[in-house]
Amino acid sequence: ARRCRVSRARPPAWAAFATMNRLNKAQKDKVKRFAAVADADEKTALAVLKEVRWDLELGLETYFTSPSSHFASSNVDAAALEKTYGEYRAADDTHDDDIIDAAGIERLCADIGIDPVDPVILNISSKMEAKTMGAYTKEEFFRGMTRMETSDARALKSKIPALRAEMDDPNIFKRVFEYSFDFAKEPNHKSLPLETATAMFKVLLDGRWALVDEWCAFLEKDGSVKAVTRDTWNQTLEFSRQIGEDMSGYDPAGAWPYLIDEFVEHKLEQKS
Amino acid sequence: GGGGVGNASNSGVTVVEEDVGEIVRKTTRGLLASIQRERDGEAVDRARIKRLTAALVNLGLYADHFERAFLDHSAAYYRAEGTRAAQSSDAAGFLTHCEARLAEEEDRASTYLDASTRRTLTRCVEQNLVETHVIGVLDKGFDALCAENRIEDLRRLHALCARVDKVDKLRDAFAARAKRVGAAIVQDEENDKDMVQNLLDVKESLERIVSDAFGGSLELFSNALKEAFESFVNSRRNRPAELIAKYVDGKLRAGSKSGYVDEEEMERTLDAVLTLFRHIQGKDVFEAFYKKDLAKRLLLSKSASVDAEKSMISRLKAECGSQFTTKLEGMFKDVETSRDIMRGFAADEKIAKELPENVDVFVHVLTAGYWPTYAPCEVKLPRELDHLQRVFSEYYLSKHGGRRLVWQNALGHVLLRAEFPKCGVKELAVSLFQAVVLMLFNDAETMSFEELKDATGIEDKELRRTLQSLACGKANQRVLSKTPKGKDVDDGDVFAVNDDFNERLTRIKVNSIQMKETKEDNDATNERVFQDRQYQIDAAIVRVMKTRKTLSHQLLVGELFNQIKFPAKPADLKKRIESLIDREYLERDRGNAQVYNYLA
Repeated sequence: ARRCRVSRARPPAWAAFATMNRLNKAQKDKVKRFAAVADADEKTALAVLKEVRWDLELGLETYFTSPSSHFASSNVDAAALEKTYGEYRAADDTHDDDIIDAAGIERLCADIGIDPVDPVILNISSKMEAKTMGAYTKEEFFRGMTRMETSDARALKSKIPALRAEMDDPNIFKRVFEYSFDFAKEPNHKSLPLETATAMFKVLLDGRWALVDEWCAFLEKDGSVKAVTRDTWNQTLEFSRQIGEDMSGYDPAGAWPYLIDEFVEHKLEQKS
Repeated sequence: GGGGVGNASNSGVTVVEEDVGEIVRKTTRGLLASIQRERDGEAVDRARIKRLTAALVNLGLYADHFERAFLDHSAAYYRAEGTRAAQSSDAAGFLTHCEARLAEEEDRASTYLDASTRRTLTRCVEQNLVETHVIGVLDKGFDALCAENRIEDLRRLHALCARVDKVDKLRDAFAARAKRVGAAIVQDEENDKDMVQNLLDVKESLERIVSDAFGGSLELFSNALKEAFESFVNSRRNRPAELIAKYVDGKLRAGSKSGYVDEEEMERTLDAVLTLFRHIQGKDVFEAFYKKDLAKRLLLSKSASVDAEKSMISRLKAECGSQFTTKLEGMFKDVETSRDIMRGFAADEKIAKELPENVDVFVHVLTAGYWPTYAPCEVKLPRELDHLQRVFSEYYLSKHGGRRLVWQNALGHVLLRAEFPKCGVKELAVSLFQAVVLMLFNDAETMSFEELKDATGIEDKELRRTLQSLACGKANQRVLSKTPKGKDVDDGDVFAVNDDFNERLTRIKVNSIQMKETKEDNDATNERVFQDRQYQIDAAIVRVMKTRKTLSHQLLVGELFNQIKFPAKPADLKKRIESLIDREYLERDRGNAQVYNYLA
């Protein structure tokens, strides 16, 4: 490969490209993985990884716990963002904090051409790191839009197909899935009320898991299940990925949550 | 015979040989026919048979010419007889028949057969008559023999099984029966109140069968019986343990129908009960109920015999270790200590001045950790009783500063002197709550339910129960009258002293409700045991994970089963693990969901 001579006068895009070329395979790999898991662009990924001396775990941890603006790419026009935020935020006197409330979110969804229960909204919310359903704070809104490199509804609308496609990546989907638990529950509660949980299961897993409706019906069946814990939520995804419809390969003596044990028993009873 | 004259000596020998052969065959046939006739019940000439067989022995023809044919003949005979007898007799009849035949053949062998035939003949009968059919007896007749305690027949069966090496099958049949019969009793939910007595009865009869009928293989059958106990006593969760505790309470309580008779019988009963208890896997259920009942007996002075109580405790100690009984022993100690405290209290002159002269008071001071937990019960005490409690509290706390006294009013009882228009002065033995209600009628002619509720502060359900016992019970306990009459206490009912109350006895017990157990009490105790078990599992999980830091699910569950002393299902353990994950004591490892990490 020809050596590229890097001069200071090169525009940023070139610099990134050139820098990427100077990385070894392992490092390139890490950049790609970081970008996928953290859902950041490769430029950001690179910057972070260089800071943490290529410790991928540390990099991810730092990225998620630090204010994201630290690593934000400067591709987005702050003024435009401000304007967009203003279009959707709640009127001054309706809420204590400066937020886009449920009504505003609904309007936003309409403007970007999606159903409010479209799973892609969860991807979007996860990029914002929105703490709870039904409200986006200004910080959250800015963070998400910056990450998606959009500054208005029109741009976001055009990004929708990509945001959808992204969810087919198993790592990204897992992140969004696990995030959705916190997103959907009450901030001061530990578990997700059953009704919300089953609704969320269906939004996320419809079309991805043949048994999602059966699973929800099972949970609702005898009335003794009132809420879904985080562990059961997370393990449901694993279950949907690892175990086939015939329940083969399932080890009841394993560490699966007890509700899943019961579901499998129920399915096997049905079979016989 | 016949033939030419030719070579006289040769043909003579042949003739003789042939003739002798024919004679032997004829003789053998004759003998077999005689023996068959005798077997069939006819009388035969035994002396003649003896002579013939002896002759055959002398001629060296016995073994080959007679014995072989005899054994074949006998085998066929007994094969046929076995089938007939097995079909036509009942089990007992068949066994007797076998025993008789074996004895008969013994006798036959020693009377007119050669000694060498004896063993083989016995073996022949065993194989053809007994062995083939004894399993059939086990399958069809054994249960009935046990049920009817037919010791002789069972002994016979055992002896026959031993002969044909089928004692193991007998053991299996016995174990199966014991399990079946025991499990039927344990699982018969409608007859719970008789469960323990029925089990003890069945146990006794099975033990007698083992010792009297199967004594030849005592250890084998004793062990089989133990195994059976273990299986059926635990074939239902919690309830057998609870019922055994209640049964013992019945025995140790004074005045109960099935109560204390004499020391010897008490000891025997306790021994028997302990053997059942030994096999219970969830002994903590027993402890919870035993403790609750013991508390009632101690506080209401209802023990039939202190010696019997102590005897039971030492048995439990020997069975389960001292840890099991420390709290129970503590309860006894509290009762004795309370007596000492009251002696000091009564002798104290300062106190004597503060107490009204016509009232005696006795306080049991309970160390909280030893006794069952009692739910706090609200009540507004009348002035007099409140004063008594206050005086005692001050006295006690002056002697034991730094302690906290909580009055358990639900457990209190009072001897109340009352005067009735028709029968004069009576002493009413009542619970504290009943006394609180009654004393209100010192100042009021009638009171409605609502007024009583207000004045006593007693919780609704409890107040209804209390009033029911005073106004709706048997005529000889109905110290209050209720308007309108009826069995239940409804809103708006009005109560008054029962002017028609007319009882002969001087002292009238109305407080039996305190001894009675409500379903809620029962459920509450079971619930407490259940909760306790959850705490124990949680504690064990945290202990193990704290030490190991990281552990796979399988290994964690394995460890827990080592540490936990009561029966627990893997699903129960899983639920507690999940609870601890939710409470962030543990987490699933990010790399492997089958592994847990301890979160400090």
